[in-house]
Amino acid sequence: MLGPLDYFVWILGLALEVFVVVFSVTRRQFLRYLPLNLYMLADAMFTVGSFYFVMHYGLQSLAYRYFYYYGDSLLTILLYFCVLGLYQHVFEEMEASKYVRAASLMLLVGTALVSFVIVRQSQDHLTGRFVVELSQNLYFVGLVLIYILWGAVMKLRETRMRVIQLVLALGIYFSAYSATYALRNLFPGLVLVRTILPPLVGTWLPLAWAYTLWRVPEETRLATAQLAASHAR
Amino acid sequence: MIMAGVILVVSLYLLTLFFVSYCRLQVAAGRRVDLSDSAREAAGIEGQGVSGEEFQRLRKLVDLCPETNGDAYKLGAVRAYHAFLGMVQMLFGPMIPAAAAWATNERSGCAYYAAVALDARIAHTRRIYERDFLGQ
Repeated sequence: MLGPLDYFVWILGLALEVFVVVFSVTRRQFLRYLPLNLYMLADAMFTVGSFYFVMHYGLQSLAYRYFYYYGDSLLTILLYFCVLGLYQHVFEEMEASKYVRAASLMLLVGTALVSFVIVRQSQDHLTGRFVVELSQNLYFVGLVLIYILWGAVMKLRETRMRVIQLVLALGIYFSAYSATYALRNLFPGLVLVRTILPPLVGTWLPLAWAYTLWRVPEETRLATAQLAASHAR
Repeated sequence: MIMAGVILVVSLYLLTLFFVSYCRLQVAAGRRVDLSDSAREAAGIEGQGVSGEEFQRLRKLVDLCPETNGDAYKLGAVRAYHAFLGMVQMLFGPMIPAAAAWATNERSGCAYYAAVALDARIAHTRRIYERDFLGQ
Protein backbone atom coordinates (compact mmCIF):
# COMPACT_ATOMS: atom_id res chain seq x y z
CA MET A 1 0.00 0.00 0.00
CA LEU A 2 1.40 3.39 -1.00
CA GLY A 3 1.36 6.26 1.49
CA PRO A 4 1.27 10.05 0.91
CA LEU A 5 5.08 10.22 1.06
CA ASP A 6 5.38 7.63 -1.74
CA TYR A 7 3.03 9.64 -3.94
CA PHE A 8 4.91 12.83 -3.11
CA VAL A 9 8.28 11.32 -4.11
CA TRP A 10 6.67 9.90 -7.25
CA ILE A 11 5.15 13.23 -8.33
CA LEU A 12 8.32 15.14 -7.41
CA GLY A 13 10.43 12.81 -9.56
CA LEU A 14 8.03 13.16 -12.51
CA ALA A 15 7.91 16.96 -12.16
CA LEU A 16 11.72 17.18 -12.11
CA GLU A 17 12.07 14.92 -15.16
CA VAL A 18 9.58 17.02 -17.12
CA PHE A 19 11.33 20.18 -15.89
CA VAL A 20 14.73 19.02 -17.24
CA VAL A 21 13.27 18.33 -20.70
CA VAL A 22 11.17 21.53 -20.88
CA PHE A 23 14.06 23.65 -19.59
CA SER A 24 16.45 22.16 -22.16
CA VAL A 25 13.98 22.76 -24.99
CA THR A 26 13.30 26.37 -23.98
CA ARG A 27 17.04 27.12 -23.57
CA ARG A 28 17.84 25.40 -26.90
CA GLN A 29 20.02 22.82 -25.12
CA PHE A 30 17.96 19.77 -25.97
CA LEU A 31 20.33 18.55 -28.68
CA ARG A 32 23.49 19.49 -26.76
CA TYR A 33 22.41 17.12 -23.97
CA LEU A 34 20.39 14.75 -26.17
CA PRO A 35 21.00 11.40 -24.37
CA LEU A 36 20.35 13.05 -21.00
CA ASN A 37 17.07 14.57 -22.21
CA LEU A 38 15.96 11.35 -23.90
CA TYR A 39 16.64 9.49 -20.67
CA MET A 40 14.60 12.01 -18.65
CA LEU A 41 11.75 11.71 -21.17
CA ALA A 42 11.86 7.91 -21.00
CA ASP A 43 12.04 8.02 -17.20
CA ALA A 44 8.98 10.31 -17.07
CA MET A 45 7.08 7.86 -19.31
CA PHE A 46 8.22 5.00 -17.11
CA THR A 47 6.96 6.85 -14.00
CA VAL A 48 3.55 7.39 -15.62
CA GLY A 49 3.50 3.73 -16.74
CA SER A 50 4.38 2.55 -13.22
CA PHE A 51 1.55 4.64 -11.82
CA TYR A 52 -0.86 3.10 -14.34
CA PHE A 53 0.23 -0.45 -13.43
CA VAL A 54 -0.07 0.21 -9.69
CA MET A 55 -3.54 1.71 -10.11
CA HIS A 56 -4.83 -1.07 -12.36
CA TYR A 57 -3.03 -4.17 -11.10
CA GLY A 58 -1.76 -3.24 -7.63
CA LEU A 59 1.70 -2.78 -6.13
CA GLN A 60 2.15 -6.49 -5.37
CA SER A 61 0.95 -7.72 -8.79
CA LEU A 62 3.19 -9.73 -11.06
CA ALA A 63 2.34 -7.40 -13.97
CA TYR A 64 3.69 -4.37 -12.08
CA ARG A 65 6.81 -6.21 -10.97
CA TYR A 66 7.63 -7.29 -14.52
CA PHE A 67 6.96 -3.79 -15.83
CA TYR A 68 9.09 -2.24 -13.10
CA TYR A 69 12.18 -4.48 -13.30
CA TYR A 70 12.37 -4.87 -17.07
CA GLY A 71 11.53 -1.20 -17.62
CA ASP A 72 14.25 -0.32 -15.10
CA SER A 73 16.76 -2.54 -16.93
CA LEU A 74 15.97 -0.82 -20.24
CA LEU A 75 16.31 2.59 -18.59
CA THR A 76 19.70 1.58 -17.21
CA ILE A 77 20.87 0.69 -20.71
CA LEU A 78 19.56 4.08 -21.88
CA LEU A 79 21.55 5.63 -19.06
CA TYR A 80 24.71 4.09 -20.55
CA PHE A 81 24.15 6.40 -23.49
CA CYS A 82 24.04 9.34 -21.09
CA VAL A 83 27.42 8.21 -19.77
CA LEU A 84 28.73 7.98 -23.34
CA GLY A 85 27.25 11.40 -24.08
CA LEU A 86 29.22 12.76 -21.12
CA TYR A 87 32.34 10.97 -22.43
CA GLN A 88 31.81 12.91 -25.65
CA HIS A 89 31.56 16.19 -23.72
CA VAL A 90 34.77 15.44 -21.82
CA PHE A 91 36.69 14.34 -24.91
CA GLU A 92 35.21 16.86 -27.36
CA GLU A 93 38.28 19.11 -27.31
CA MET A 94 40.48 16.13 -28.16
CA GLU A 95 38.30 15.43 -31.22
CA ALA A 96 37.91 11.85 -30.12
CA SER A 97 34.19 11.61 -30.86
CA LYS A 98 34.63 8.89 -33.51
CA TYR A 99 36.35 6.65 -30.93
CA VAL A 100 33.60 7.36 -28.40
CA ARG A 101 30.97 6.50 -31.04
CA ALA A 102 32.78 3.24 -31.85
CA ALA A 103 33.03 2.40 -28.14
CA SER A 104 29.32 3.14 -27.64
CA LEU A 105 28.40 0.84 -30.54
CA MET A 106 30.59 -1.90 -29.06
CA LEU A 107 29.03 -1.38 -25.64
CA LEU A 108 25.52 -1.57 -27.06
CA VAL A 109 26.25 -4.77 -28.98
CA GLY A 110 28.08 -6.24 -25.98
CA THR A 111 25.27 -5.43 -23.54
CA ALA A 112 22.65 -6.81 -25.94
CA LEU A 113 24.65 -10.03 -26.41
CA VAL A 114 25.31 -10.58 -22.70
CA SER A 115 21.67 -9.80 -21.82
CA PHE A 116 20.50 -12.19 -24.53
CA VAL A 117 22.76 -14.98 -23.26
CA ILE A 118 21.69 -14.40 -19.63
CA VAL A 119 17.98 -14.33 -20.48
CA ARG A 120 18.32 -17.40 -22.72
CA GLN A 121 20.12 -19.38 -20.02
CA SER A 122 17.63 -18.29 -17.36
CA GLN A 123 14.37 -18.44 -19.33
CA ASP A 124 13.15 -21.37 -17.25
CA HIS A 125 13.48 -19.36 -14.07
CA LEU A 126 12.86 -15.68 -14.88
CA THR A 127 12.15 -14.99 -11.24
CA GLY A 128 12.24 -11.86 -9.10
CA ARG A 129 15.68 -12.86 -7.89
CA PHE A 130 16.94 -13.06 -11.46
CA VAL A 131 15.77 -9.54 -12.31
CA VAL A 132 17.28 -8.15 -9.11
CA GLU A 133 20.59 -9.77 -10.05
CA LEU A 134 20.37 -8.46 -13.62
CA SER A 135 19.66 -4.90 -12.39
CA GLN A 136 22.50 -5.14 -9.87
CA ASN A 137 24.92 -6.15 -12.64
CA LEU A 138 23.68 -3.50 -15.08
CA TYR A 139 24.06 -0.75 -12.47
CA PHE A 140 27.50 -2.03 -11.55
CA VAL A 141 28.64 -1.90 -15.20
CA GLY A 142 27.32 1.68 -15.33
CA LEU A 143 29.23 2.46 -12.15
CA VAL A 144 32.47 1.14 -13.64
CA LEU A 145 31.90 3.25 -16.78
CA ILE A 146 31.26 6.41 -14.77
CA TYR A 147 34.28 5.75 -12.55
CA ILE A 148 36.51 5.54 -15.64
CA LEU A 149 34.93 8.79 -16.87
CA TRP A 150 35.61 10.43 -13.50
CA GLY A 151 39.23 9.33 -13.80
CA ALA A 152 39.38 10.98 -17.25
CA VAL A 153 37.81 14.18 -15.85
CA MET A 154 40.53 14.38 -13.20
CA LYS A 155 43.34 13.39 -15.56
CA LEU A 156 42.33 15.84 -18.29
CA ARG A 157 41.75 18.55 -15.66
CA GLU A 158 38.24 19.25 -16.88
CA THR A 159 37.15 22.68 -15.68
CA ARG A 160 33.53 22.92 -16.83
CA MET A 161 31.55 22.95 -13.60
CA ARG A 162 28.37 21.79 -15.35
CA VAL A 163 29.98 18.70 -16.88
CA ILE A 164 31.73 17.82 -13.59
CA GLN A 165 28.48 18.13 -11.68
CA LEU A 166 26.53 16.02 -14.19
CA VAL A 167 29.20 13.29 -14.01
CA LEU A 168 29.32 13.27 -10.20
CA ALA A 169 25.52 13.21 -9.88
CA LEU A 170 25.42 10.20 -12.18
CA GLY A 171 28.21 8.56 -10.17
CA ILE A 172 26.24 8.96 -6.94
CA TYR A 173 23.13 7.58 -8.67
CA PHE A 174 24.85 4.49 -10.12
CA SER A 175 26.72 3.67 -6.92
CA ALA A 176 23.65 4.13 -4.70
CA TYR A 177 21.49 1.94 -6.94
CA SER A 178 24.21 -0.66 -7.33
CA ALA A 179 24.62 -0.84 -3.53
CA THR A 180 20.83 -0.99 -3.04
CA TYR A 181 20.46 -3.92 -5.44
CA ALA A 182 23.45 -5.72 -3.93
CA LEU A 183 21.91 -5.30 -0.44
CA ARG A 184 18.62 -6.58 -1.81
CA ASN A 185 20.37 -9.62 -3.20
CA LEU A 186 22.08 -10.29 0.13
CA PHE A 187 19.09 -9.50 2.37
CA PRO A 188 15.88 -10.04 0.36
CA GLY A 189 13.63 -9.34 3.36
CA LEU A 190 15.10 -5.92 4.24
CA VAL A 191 12.27 -3.33 3.99
CA LEU A 192 14.69 -0.39 3.66
CA VAL A 193 16.14 -1.62 0.37
CA ARG A 194 12.82 -2.86 -1.02
CA THR A 195 10.54 0.13 -0.54
CA ILE A 196 12.33 3.14 0.99
CA LEU A 197 15.68 3.54 -0.78
CA PRO A 198 14.76 2.94 -4.48
CA PRO A 199 12.32 5.88 -4.86
CA LEU A 200 14.65 8.22 -2.95
CA VAL A 201 17.67 7.26 -5.05
CA GLY A 202 15.48 7.49 -8.17
CA THR A 203 14.58 11.10 -7.34
CA TRP A 204 18.21 12.08 -6.83
CA LEU A 205 19.24 12.06 -10.51
CA PRO A 206 16.43 14.30 -11.89
CA LEU A 207 16.89 16.60 -8.88
CA ALA A 208 20.66 16.95 -9.32
CA TRP A 209 20.47 17.31 -13.11
CA ALA A 210 17.58 19.80 -12.91
CA TYR A 211 19.58 21.91 -10.45
CA THR A 212 22.75 21.70 -12.55
CA LEU A 213 21.08 22.72 -15.81
CA TRP A 214 19.04 25.43 -14.10
CA ARG A 215 21.64 26.99 -11.81
CA VAL A 216 25.08 26.19 -13.21
CA PRO A 217 25.78 28.24 -16.35
CA GLU A 218 27.59 26.52 -19.22
CA GLU A 219 30.56 28.91 -18.95
CA THR A 220 31.25 28.40 -15.20
CA ARG A 221 34.74 27.01 -14.68
CA LEU A 222 36.39 25.40 -11.66
CA ALA A 223 39.80 23.78 -11.50
CA THR A 224 39.53 20.07 -10.69
CA ALA A 225 42.75 20.46 -8.71
CA GLN A 226 40.60 22.17 -6.08
CA LEU A 227 38.73 18.89 -5.66
CA ALA A 228 41.89 16.88 -5.30
CA ALA A 229 43.40 19.09 -2.61
CA SER A 230 41.46 22.09 -1.42
CA HIS A 231 43.29 24.66 0.66
CA ALA A 232 42.21 25.93 4.04
CA ARG A 233 40.68 29.38 4.19
CA MET B 1 26.38 -14.17 -2.77
CA ILE B 2 30.13 -13.44 -2.95
CA MET B 3 29.57 -11.41 -6.12
CA ALA B 4 26.82 -9.38 -4.42
CA GLY B 5 29.11 -8.80 -1.41
CA VAL B 6 31.95 -7.56 -3.63
CA ILE B 7 29.57 -5.30 -5.58
CA LEU B 8 28.20 -3.91 -2.30
CA VAL B 9 31.65 -3.06 -0.92
CA VAL B 10 32.87 -1.47 -4.19
CA SER B 11 29.59 0.46 -4.63
CA LEU B 12 29.69 1.84 -1.09
CA TYR B 13 33.32 2.89 -1.53
CA LEU B 14 32.55 4.65 -4.83
CA LEU B 15 29.36 6.18 -3.39
CA THR B 16 31.48 7.78 -0.66
CA LEU B 17 34.04 8.94 -3.25
CA PHE B 18 31.42 10.53 -5.53
CA PHE B 19 29.50 12.05 -2.62
CA VAL B 20 32.64 13.62 -1.14
CA SER B 21 33.72 14.94 -4.57
CA TYR B 22 30.25 16.35 -5.27
CA CYS B 23 30.12 18.19 -1.94
CA ARG B 24 33.74 19.39 -2.24
CA LEU B 25 32.79 20.87 -5.58
CA GLN B 26 30.14 23.01 -3.88
CA VAL B 27 32.51 23.95 -1.04
CA ALA B 28 35.35 24.76 -3.48
CA ALA B 29 33.02 27.08 -5.43
CA GLY B 30 32.17 28.86 -2.14
CA ARG B 31 35.85 29.25 -1.26
CA ARG B 32 36.41 31.41 -4.34
CA VAL B 33 34.06 34.06 -2.95
CA ASP B 34 35.34 36.73 -0.55
CA LEU B 35 33.16 37.57 2.44
CA SER B 36 31.96 41.14 2.72
CA ASP B 37 32.72 43.15 5.85
CA SER B 38 29.01 43.53 6.65
CA ALA B 39 28.56 39.74 6.58
CA ARG B 40 31.58 39.28 8.86
CA GLU B 41 30.15 41.79 11.25
CA ALA B 42 26.62 40.32 11.15
CA ALA B 43 27.89 36.77 11.68
CA GLY B 44 30.53 37.74 14.21
CA ILE B 45 33.41 36.31 12.15
CA GLU B 46 36.90 37.51 12.94
CA GLY B 47 39.99 36.82 10.84
CA GLN B 48 40.20 35.06 7.46
CA GLY B 49 39.05 31.54 8.28
CA VAL B 50 35.82 30.22 9.78
CA SER B 51 35.88 27.36 12.26
CA GLY B 52 33.95 24.20 11.39
CA GLU B 53 32.20 24.46 14.74
CA GLU B 54 30.55 27.67 13.54
CA PHE B 55 28.60 25.82 10.85
CA GLN B 56 25.42 25.14 12.86
CA ARG B 57 25.22 28.72 14.12
CA LEU B 58 25.77 30.14 10.64
CA ARG B 59 23.20 27.76 9.15
CA LYS B 60 20.60 28.96 11.66
CA LEU B 61 21.37 32.55 10.63
CA VAL B 62 21.06 31.55 6.95
CA ASP B 63 17.63 30.04 7.68
CA LEU B 64 16.45 33.41 9.00
CA CYS B 65 16.91 35.04 5.58
CA PRO B 66 14.82 34.36 2.47
CA GLU B 67 16.24 31.87 -0.06
CA THR B 68 18.46 33.32 -2.79
CA ASN B 69 18.87 31.84 -6.29
CA GLY B 70 17.78 28.36 -5.20
CA ASP B 71 20.75 28.01 -2.81
CA ALA B 72 18.80 25.67 -0.49
CA TYR B 73 19.82 22.68 -2.65
CA LYS B 74 23.54 23.44 -2.32
CA LEU B 75 23.18 24.21 1.38
CA GLY B 76 21.46 20.84 1.83
CA ALA B 77 24.40 19.08 0.15
CA VAL B 78 26.94 20.98 2.28
CA ARG B 79 24.93 20.24 5.42
CA ALA B 80 24.96 16.51 4.62
CA TYR B 81 28.71 16.74 3.94
CA HIS B 82 29.30 18.52 7.26
CA ALA B 83 27.40 15.78 9.10
CA PHE B 84 29.39 13.11 7.20
CA LEU B 85 32.67 14.80 8.18
CA GLY B 86 31.54 14.90 11.79
CA MET B 87 31.03 11.15 11.62
CA VAL B 88 34.49 10.65 10.04
CA GLN B 89 36.03 12.76 12.80
CA MET B 90 34.25 10.79 15.50
CA LEU B 91 34.94 7.30 14.07
CA PHE B 92 38.47 7.69 12.70
CA GLY B 93 39.77 10.74 14.56
CA PRO B 94 41.16 8.87 17.59
CA MET B 95 42.91 6.25 15.42
CA ILE B 96 43.99 8.25 12.34
CA PRO B 97 45.04 11.84 13.17
CA ALA B 98 45.44 12.68 9.45
CA ALA B 99 41.77 11.85 8.86
CA ALA B 100 40.76 14.08 11.76
CA ALA B 101 42.89 16.95 10.39
CA TRP B 102 41.39 16.53 6.93
CA ALA B 103 37.84 16.48 8.35
CA THR B 104 38.55 19.61 10.43
CA ASN B 105 39.82 21.44 7.34
CA GLU B 106 36.81 20.35 5.28
CA ARG B 107 34.36 21.31 8.04
CA SER B 108 35.95 24.74 8.08
CA GLY B 109 35.25 24.92 4.30
CA CYS B 110 31.60 24.00 4.99
CA ALA B 111 31.33 26.78 7.57
CA TYR B 112 32.90 29.23 5.13
CA TYR B 113 30.36 28.16 2.52
CA ALA B 114 27.53 28.82 5.01
CA ALA B 115 29.00 32.28 5.68
CA VAL B 116 29.10 32.98 1.92
CA ALA B 117 25.47 31.87 1.62
CA LEU B 118 24.57 34.13 4.54
CA ASP B 119 26.36 37.01 2.83
CA ALA B 120 24.40 36.44 -0.38
CA ARG B 121 21.11 36.19 1.50
CA ILE B 122 21.76 39.36 3.50
CA ALA B 123 22.54 41.24 0.26
CA HIS B 124 19.38 39.81 -1.36
CA THR B 125 17.22 40.77 1.64
CA ARG B 126 18.70 44.28 1.59
CA ARG B 127 17.83 44.63 -2.10
CA ILE B 128 14.24 43.51 -1.40
CA TYR B 129 13.99 45.98 1.50
CA GLU B 130 15.33 48.85 -0.61
CA ARG B 131 13.05 48.01 -3.53
CA ASP B 132 9.81 47.30 -1.64
CA PHE B 133 10.04 49.54 1.42
CA LEU B 134 12.26 52.42 0.43
CA GLY B 135 11.04 52.48 -3.19
CA GLN B 136 14.56 52.79 -4.65
